[in-house]
Amino acid sequence: MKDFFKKRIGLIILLVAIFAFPSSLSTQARLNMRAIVTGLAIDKVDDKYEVTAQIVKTSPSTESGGEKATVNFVSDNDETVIGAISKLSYKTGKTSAFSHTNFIIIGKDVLEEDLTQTLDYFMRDNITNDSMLLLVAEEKASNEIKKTKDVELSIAIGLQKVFMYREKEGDGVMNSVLEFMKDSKESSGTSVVSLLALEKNDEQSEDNPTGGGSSSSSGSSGESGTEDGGEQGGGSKYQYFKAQTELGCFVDGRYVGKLEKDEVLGYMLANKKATIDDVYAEDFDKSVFNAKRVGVKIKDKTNKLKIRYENNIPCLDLVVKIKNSAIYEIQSEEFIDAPTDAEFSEIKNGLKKKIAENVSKCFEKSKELKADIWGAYLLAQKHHYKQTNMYYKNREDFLSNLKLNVIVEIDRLEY
Amino acid sequence: MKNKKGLSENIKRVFGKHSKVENQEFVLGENSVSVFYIESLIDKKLVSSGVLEPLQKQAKNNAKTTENTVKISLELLKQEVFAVSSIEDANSVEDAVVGILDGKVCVVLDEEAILIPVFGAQKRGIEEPPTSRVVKGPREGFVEDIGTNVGLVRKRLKTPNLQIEDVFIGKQTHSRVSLFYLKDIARPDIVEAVKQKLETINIDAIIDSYYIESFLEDNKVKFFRRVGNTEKPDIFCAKILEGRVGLIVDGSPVALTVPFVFFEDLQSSQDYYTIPAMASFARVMRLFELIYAVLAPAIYVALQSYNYRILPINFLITLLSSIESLSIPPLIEILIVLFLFEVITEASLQMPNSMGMALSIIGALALGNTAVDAGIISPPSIVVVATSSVALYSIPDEIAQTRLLRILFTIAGGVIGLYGIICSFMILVAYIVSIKSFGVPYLSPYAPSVRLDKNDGFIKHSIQDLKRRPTFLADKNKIRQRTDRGGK
Amino acid sequence: MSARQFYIMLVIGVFSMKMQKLPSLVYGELGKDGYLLFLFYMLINLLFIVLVFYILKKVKLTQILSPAKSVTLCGFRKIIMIVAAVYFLTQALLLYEHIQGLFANTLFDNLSWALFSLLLLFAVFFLAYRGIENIALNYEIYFWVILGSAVIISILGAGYTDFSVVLPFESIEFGKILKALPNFSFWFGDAILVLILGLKSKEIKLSKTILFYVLTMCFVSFVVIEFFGMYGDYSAAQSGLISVLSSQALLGLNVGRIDWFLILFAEIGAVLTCSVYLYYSCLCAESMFPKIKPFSIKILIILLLYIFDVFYFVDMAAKLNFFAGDMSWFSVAVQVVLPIILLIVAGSINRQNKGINTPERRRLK
Repeated sequence: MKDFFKKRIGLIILLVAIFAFPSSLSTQARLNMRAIVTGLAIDKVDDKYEVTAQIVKTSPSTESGGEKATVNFVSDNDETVIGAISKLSYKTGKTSAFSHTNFIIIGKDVLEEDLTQTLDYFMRDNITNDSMLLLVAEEKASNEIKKTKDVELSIAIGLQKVFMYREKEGDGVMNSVLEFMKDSKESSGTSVVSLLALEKNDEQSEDNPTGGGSSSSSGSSGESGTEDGGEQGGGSKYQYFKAQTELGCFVDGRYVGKLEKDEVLGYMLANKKATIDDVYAEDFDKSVFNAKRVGVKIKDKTNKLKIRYENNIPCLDLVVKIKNSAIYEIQSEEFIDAPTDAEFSEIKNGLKKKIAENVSKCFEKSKELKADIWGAYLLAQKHHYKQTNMYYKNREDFLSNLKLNVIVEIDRLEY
Repeated sequence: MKNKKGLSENIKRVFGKHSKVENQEFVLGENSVSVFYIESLIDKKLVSSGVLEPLQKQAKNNAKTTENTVKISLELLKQEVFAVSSIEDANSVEDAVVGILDGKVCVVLDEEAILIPVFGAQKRGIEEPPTSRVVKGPREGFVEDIGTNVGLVRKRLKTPNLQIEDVFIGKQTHSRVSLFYLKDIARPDIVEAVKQKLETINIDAIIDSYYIESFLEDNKVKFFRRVGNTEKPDIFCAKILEGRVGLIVDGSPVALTVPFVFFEDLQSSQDYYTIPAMASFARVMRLFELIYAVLAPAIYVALQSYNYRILPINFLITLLSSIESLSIPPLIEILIVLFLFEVITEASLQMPNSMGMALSIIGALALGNTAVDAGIISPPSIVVVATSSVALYSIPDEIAQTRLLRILFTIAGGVIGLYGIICSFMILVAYIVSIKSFGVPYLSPYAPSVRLDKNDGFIKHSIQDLKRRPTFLADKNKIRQRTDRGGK
Repeated sequence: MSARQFYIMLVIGVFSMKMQKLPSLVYGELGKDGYLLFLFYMLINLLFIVLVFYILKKVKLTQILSPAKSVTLCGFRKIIMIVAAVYFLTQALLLYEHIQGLFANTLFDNLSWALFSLLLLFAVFFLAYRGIENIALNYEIYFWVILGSAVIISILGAGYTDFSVVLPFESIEFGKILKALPNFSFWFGDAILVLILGLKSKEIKLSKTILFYVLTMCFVSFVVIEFFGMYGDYSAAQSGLISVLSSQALLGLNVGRIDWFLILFAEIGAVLTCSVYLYYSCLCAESMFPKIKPFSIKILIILLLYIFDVFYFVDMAAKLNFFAGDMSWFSVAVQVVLPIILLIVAGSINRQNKGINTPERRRLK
């Protein structure tokens, strides 16, 4: 038998290959028969889910890196999300491929239900990417996704990278589907997601900087996210956009409210992922330092969260440690070329006060929304399990009694 | 052993009329001396001055003197007449015939004959071999003449331990095959095994050393060679010094060495004439180039056909736009490009120089704009196959294997994607690992792993650190370098 | 096999088996404290490894495989060989299923496994057919690639993990973990692996074996914690640890999923380990039926593997029921009873060597 196989091994391999080859032709991906979906938007219309897909459209003139590649939008609806997604293939005539889906926008109507149920499919499916950026639209998600058509680099890099940079600079949150789902299932049950509201800006800039994605990363927090960006020639498809810098709060997968302006600043100052930020220090002692406000660029910061119990009352110690920062603006009636030591100290105090104020604002709002945005309950369970379980059986109790103690440390402030 | 009467006649009968064997007769007293040689094989000047002229003189002298003529014998001729060295006795007609065919002059007196080595056939000069060029280092290469080759080895290995055993193989060619080894280093079992294999060869002709190589291999169906080869005497000597057995075949500039391990293909003589860091880098690069050459088209097809989600979005879009107009599956497309490259490779080897330029242009145009514009192939596939083809030549000795493997892997990748490539690769490695060359595992010193042998592995250590011979080659006299000076 | 090869095979064999679907199954049953299961099994296996080393000193492979009359187990030899052959076949099948899960269900959109599994089957068979020495050489060649890939994957995942998932320690239910131990015994037959590899190896040391085993299990436990920290409650829904651990890591680079190459390199360890078990299954089966040609037995076993994989294990429920269900007791029995039987054999041989049962002593009695 061994000799039989040995002599005929080549023939056997050939036969298997001959059988396998036609079968393989039918199971191949055939890229040009695939519709690459780079973004999804989910809305709810008349109790049905409407899914809008952003599909890459290539042509022979598409350059390397996705330049000049355009996107098409295809929508369909069904009673379930997966059903609507499956129907997309009928309209495109190609099989939808979700392996490169960068972001998913959830519309306002979907927020009424538990998002963990809506997004469960994406967590269990092997092919879809569970690191997709999760965004929430204030109105219809399909309207927002269609605006991304004119956002440069939307395909090649995607909003995902834009929000990654924004998160680092304290201007937004880059929460993936996985993080959202995981946070929602934990005992704190709270997740924070960026709100997306793209507005076309009809003002044309006279400057002509190079390239520069319109959803660029720099932006001052505290403002409503005016974007810097370049325009590629008058009347080109790349426009300015404004994007909101607001955050939506979700508790156990359900939308409970949003954080705005100063609250967002407070949240980002306490967020480990944000290492850069812009803060204005105010309320100086005029006898020491006579200025309206001072703009400080935080270049590097770290955060620490710690829970302790004081007389069975939980206290969240939130440490904001600014390792490196620099003054970039002094608004004063007199010209101040370089602050003195006392003035520096006053600026630092002002900064600390402002940070503590913003963080506290955020904390108050989160209490109002009953959202444990910093995961204090989870922390308490991890580090003070017995005490927490003894005195606070549920999260609401815990949150209602939780106190915040903000500690700001400034290592270095340059001028 | 003396033959029957008429040794000269026997020789003449063996060669026949049209054999171009020259025959001159000299009368020396009562004796007649016959001289046989093939003019195109001898050094005419040496024969003339060392053999024929002395014989003529002796004949004249004998003719003049009439009293007390000394009986002429071959011994006398050897000692006093011929002005050449290394004279051998021919014990039979066969010996005489072989000697004449070997470029020697046969002198027959009575029923005795001697052979005088005066080989002087045209031979190629020593030059750098085209497949083993170096930037720095020796540039001598073997030639077809075995005498010259032996000399090249001898002048490097000036030790009495160097053993050179000659074997003559081939009924029609009677090719001389010289076996080289160092008796105090080489493993006796390997030497014996080589000798036994040579003894079993019963063939008409040995035209090139590849014939001997085929017989030295264990298996008839072989994909990877188990016998090393080189055209450079410095490499040949280095391998013998490690404990290998070398073979040089008359008529072939390619010398063989056994045992052979896969890693030798990743080594180059250049590595030993440059800084170790550069040598290490070069070796690692060669391995990567080899893997790239074999697997790049396969991975390209697999990613396109099945596993596109691995591709970055930028490249995916570029690829999509390139293959927009193609109607053939990626596997067929790559096979077409591979086929075109093979055609160009084969044609460029065979075509005359005068046609080279014109056909190169056609090849470039066919593969370039025309085929792409016609929608037969896409630009990325050309880039992948072109770079893979260039990378093939990082290890010129394995070209045949890598070209075939490239196609097999491409089919595997095209039929079942990365899974097919991984499984095929594992089967290939499992096969390679089981190969042995004269009892030595093919992937030594990495499988099985021998720490000290790896000093000359991918990370090459300096010459000072290469103190021991490879353990799989030398089981005696393992130390080749000591720290004390002048020690044995 | 050399000692180096033994240690390499042990390390890769141990973590290849555990870095597949097992962590998801463990999370589904035990939650965030599931990593303790790995540590418990490590301790149990350490005890058995000490026992195995004693056996290895006394017993040779030939004494087990051949029906020598002097060996006590000869009466039960066939039963033990059948049980061992079945056990090793199930181990090979388990790994085969995991490899199928990775290739057919995760890497590809859809793949006709009934046809395309033939290639993997051939690869595994080819490796097993070439013998354990050959497999050991394969391990040596791939060792740094497999280990390096596994380590890089774990490093890539470490940046996106909340390691405090193990807290709080006060909530650990040790009883629940101990109760769940037998369910996962198929994945933790490490002592048996030491036994079968040790029978073919020379000059292996107990101290080094323990060291490498402990380091490997600690690495596995670390990776499992990383996995739990990354996916939280969704750990149970993931297809396999090795294929998802690095999925979050390369976002910033926008280089696609090139970490898949690392995953495939690491999976080579699973294929090699599958071939080891297949080899031993064939070896035990061949020793039971010396009259049948070994090649025919190998073909039969490989056919069994194929039939089970394609026709019996048609879905995840079938697999779970088999490996983590009732059949897990079979695995426990083999892992506990086989070393004890061999211990008895070792004792018997020891007595023989000390001259207790020599003909002279029997005559004196």
